[in-house]
Formats: sequence, structure tokens, C-alpha cells
Amino acid sequence: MTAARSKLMLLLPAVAVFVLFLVFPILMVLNESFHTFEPGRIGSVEGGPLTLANYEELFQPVYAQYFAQTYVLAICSSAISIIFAFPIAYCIARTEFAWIQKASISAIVGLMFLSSLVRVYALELTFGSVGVLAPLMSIMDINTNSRLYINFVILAGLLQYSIPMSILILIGAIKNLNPRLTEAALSLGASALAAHITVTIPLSIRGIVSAFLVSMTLGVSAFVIPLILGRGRILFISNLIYSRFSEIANYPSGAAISIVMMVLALLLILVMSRLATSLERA
Amino acid sequence: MSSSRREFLKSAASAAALGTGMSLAGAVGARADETITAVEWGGNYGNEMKKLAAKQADVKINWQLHAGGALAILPKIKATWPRPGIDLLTGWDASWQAIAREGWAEAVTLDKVPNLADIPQKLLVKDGAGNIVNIPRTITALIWFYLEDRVPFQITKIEDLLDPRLKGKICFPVPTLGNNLQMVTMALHKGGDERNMEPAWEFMKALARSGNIGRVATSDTDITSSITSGETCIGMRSGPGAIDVGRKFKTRVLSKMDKTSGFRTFVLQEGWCVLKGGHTDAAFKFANFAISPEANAEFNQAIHAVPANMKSKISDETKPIAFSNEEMEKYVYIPDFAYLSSQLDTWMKRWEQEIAPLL
Repeated sequence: MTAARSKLMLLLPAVAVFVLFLVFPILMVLNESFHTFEPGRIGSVEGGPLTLANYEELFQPVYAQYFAQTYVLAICSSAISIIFAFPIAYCIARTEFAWIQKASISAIVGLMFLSSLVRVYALELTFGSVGVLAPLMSIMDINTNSRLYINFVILAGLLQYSIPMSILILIGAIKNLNPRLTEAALSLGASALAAHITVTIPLSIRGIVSAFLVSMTLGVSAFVIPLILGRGRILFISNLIYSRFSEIANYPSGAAISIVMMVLALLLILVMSRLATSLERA
Repeated sequence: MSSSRREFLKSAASAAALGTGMSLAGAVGARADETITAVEWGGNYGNEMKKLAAKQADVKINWQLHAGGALAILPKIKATWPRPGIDLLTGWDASWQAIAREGWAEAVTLDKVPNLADIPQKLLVKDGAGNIVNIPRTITALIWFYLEDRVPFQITKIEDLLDPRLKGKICFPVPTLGNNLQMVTMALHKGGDERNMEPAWEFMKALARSGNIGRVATSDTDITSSITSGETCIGMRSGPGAIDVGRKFKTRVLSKMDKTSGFRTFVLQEGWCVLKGGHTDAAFKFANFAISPEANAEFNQAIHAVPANMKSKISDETKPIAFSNEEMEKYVYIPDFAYLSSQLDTWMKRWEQEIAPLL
């Protein structure tokens, strides 16, 4: 009983911080989302009536498009990052040389320190409509002014974050995997590819799902990447939220979009976790 | 009387802490008399204002920069009100309306700012109680312009923006930038005005569908980067910014075009507002110094704008945005800024719903 109480006491500071800096602000946002906004004023009307109008306007089909655009690009970047990150993570985790492993991990962590603005402008200078590769795009008859092309550049921007992050997560997952299980499959006559697909990947599924979810979180909440690479023509949900809060000072509407975004993200995490569990069982 | 070593150290530490606290309090008090926090725009605005501030010794200034348009800082002030930590805030017609409605501005009087006597009364914005909220320092204009060597033909009318030869060449500001005056231009040309924007939305849809908009700018920096990098070459922005681009590129400014062309110019004023609750006296003192005839002329000459002080000299470079009474009638439209600022929420949502998906 005393031990349990001590554990609880030890947890208390962490819980207090969590409640103060995460739960409380989210509750504030939730509360704000039900308030009314008077055009031309800053924020919600003090003492005004509560309303669901901020949520109702999000039921317009066009806002579904914004959500879809954000989530589709984030899911694509997460899926692509897993495809690229898994083999790299596998090589790093299974290398015989400790120094290669250390150097690789250091390089990837170092990459994460590079400013997002530098990455974004590097992509703009390379793939932008007047970028270094623009003449090549012109020769290949690729329209750098098209919506599809802008989506591609945004995707490239998202991958700059999601690939290194996925590699770091997958290294841990692969290292925890017993290599003898794959060896056993090989000794029982399975080809290297079959052993990889039927043993290594299914046993790494938790790590893959974690990497996917973290990449997706980075993608969905991306702000600077769509802001600059999207040329103001492709808007992510985070750009809409910023516009509501900062440019038109309509806090209630911004808060409502934030809450819907959070609920959708939680639903997605739930679905992915269920999927991972069922794949593990299979 | 005896005391242990620990007690001695404890009392010494307490005395030191008290002493430090008192000296810090004194320092803060001393700073408070003469140091203000001012929010200024970046680029040459900020640099030139710092140079001007260096010419006086009465008020020290802790400079902060706007992040985005003048309206972007208002939510931050709301969040920290009544202690925003800002004494002197730069803004323009659009932001004064919101500040007046919120009642954040310290009333400006001739006693506090004697040089206000030389500022045209028409530029002064009042709140609901009839108090002046702004201290104008610059008269400028929002104008259309383009880089001549990047546009394959001479643009003469607003319908030219739909020409297929301009694919991806237009940098169009989002409605929250410039209070959507870019679309008011279209409304005026098509028989509407700021209160009847339907014709503008129709034209805007056609423009968005044309594929001629290469970038939608959310800040002045976006416009500068996009146009000077060659990504786009046609835009609308404040006169000083366009004149500055013209120093490096062959630029055609459409500020004095016939009304039938559709390219209208909007004259506006920029300046300061002193926020309540801070170092208001020092803030007024500095603002008064900065709008004196000499200082105002020097600053505006450096930023390529027209001084608000009637006694200040106007530089030749600002001719495209300086208008005689006759020219004001011919080329300039002065909208109802209070109405514009109350419509931004509606217009921004309409942009998201009807225009952005077409871009």
C-alpha cells in the first residue's frame, strides 16, 4: 500500500505537468470552439452565447477536401518513407561494424537538426518553378505550375522529415528482432525474400506502425512545408488554423478546426493500432 | 551572541539576495522611465527607423518585428492584454479600426504629440469615444505593378490578367493581406465596390481557373521573394515595396492608370498607435520626434514613401504614389476601411471555399 502510494507520489509531478501544459490548453481550445465570433473583433465575444456554428461550417464539402488533401499527402509520405526507411534501417541495425552503426545513426540524428526553413528553401531552389531543375522539367514537358507538381514538391518536403524519423524508429524495432528466427526460416528452405516477407516484416509490424504514425503526425501537422512549397495554392489544415487564429483572429473557428483535426488523428491512431494487432495475430 | 558558520552563510546569502533584488528593481525602474518596446516592420522600414531612433537620446527602444501583416500581431496582443509588453505599435488603416474597436489605444492629443498639428486631420482615426488612436507617419498607396521584361506584352487593362500568356506569372495576395483591396479593384471595375463584391468574386474565379496565379502571397515578403526570384512578375503591393523592386528590375507601376483600365490605386496611411498600460509618455515622446518635419522627411525618403507631415519635403522617387488633388480624383479610390476590416473573416472563408480549390 505504501509502495503504491510512493509510486503515485512519484508520478504526480509528471501528471501535473501533463495536465497543466497539455490537457488544460486543449480544454481551453475546446471551450473556445463553442463561442461566437463577431467579425472585425479579435477572438470570441466575451459572455456571448454558445454555438455549434463553428463546427457546422466544416461540414461543407470543400473543407472535407482540405482534410482529405492533408491526410492523403501525409499518408502517402508515411507509406513512402516506410518503403525507403525499412531497408536502410535494416542495414544499419544488422551491420557487423559498430562504428558504421554509430556513424549512420549520428548522421541521421544530425539531419534532423537541419532547420526546416533551410530544407524547404533548398527544395524550392531545386524544384521550384525557377529552380535549378526547372529547365530539365521544361524539356521533360512537366508543368511546374500545375497543382499535381506542387503536390509532388510538398510530398518531397514531407519525406525530408519522415524518412530519417522512420529510420530511427525502425532501427530499434529491427534490433529487438531475434535474427535467428529468420535464419531458422532460411534453414527450413525458405528463400531470402520469403523469409524477409513472412518472418522479418511481420515481426517488425509494431515498429512499422509506430514509424508510420509518427511520420503521419509530422505530415498532418506540417505548416511551413505547405506554406512555402504549396505557393499559397495548396493549403493544409494547419495553414487554415493559422489563418483563422492569426490573420482573421477568429479563434472559435480555428479552435473548431483544431478539435476536428485532433479527433480525426485519434481515430486514425485507433484504426492503425487495431490493424497492427490483427496483423500480429495473423 | 554566538552564531554557527551555517547561520552566518545563510544570513549572508539572504542579504546578498535582497541586495541583488533591490538593485535589479532599481535597474528596472530606471529602464522603465526611458525604454519602450516598439513593433516595427522589417527590411528598410526597420533599418531606417532604427537609424532615426539613434538620432535622439531621450527614449531607448527595444525593437520587435511584425511577423506577417499588421493584423497578425493583434491576436497576440489580445492573448496578453492588459500587459501586451508593447508600447508603440506600427500599423495602417486596417489595423487601427480593430484597435479602436478593442479600445487598446491610449488617446492621442496635441499636448502629448505637438507635431500632430502638422498632420492632415483626414488621416486621424478615432475610436467610439471620439479619441484619436493613431499617429500617422507615412502616406502610401497600394498599387499594381509588373516586371516589363518578364511580361510578353504591355498590360493595359485588368482583363489582361486573364491572358493565357501570363500562365503562373501573377502573385496574388490573399484577402487578409492589404485588406483585400486587390479584389476591391476588380469589384470597382466590374460595377461594384467594397460593399458589393459579387462582380469581383466572379472575376476572381475566372482568374483562378486561368492558371495565371503562380503564387498566393500571405505576406509582403512572399511578394518580394516571388517577384524578385522570377517565380512571378505581376502583383499588387504597397508603393514603397514596388518602388524598391523598380530599383533593381525594369518595373512598370500602374498607379496612374485611367479608370477604364480597372487598375485603381488605394491611398492609405501608416503610423503608430500607443498601447495603454505601458510606457505611454516615452512612446508619445518618440513618436512626436519621429513625425517632426525633418525626421519624417528623412524616414519617408529612405523608404520611398510620402511623409505624413505637411511640412516635410517629398522626394522625386515617390512621384508614382504622390497625387495632386486632380490625380486623386482620377486614379485613387479611398475605401471604407472600417467596413473592410469587418469583412475579412467572411472574405477569407469565401476564398477558401470558392477560390483556393480552383488554383
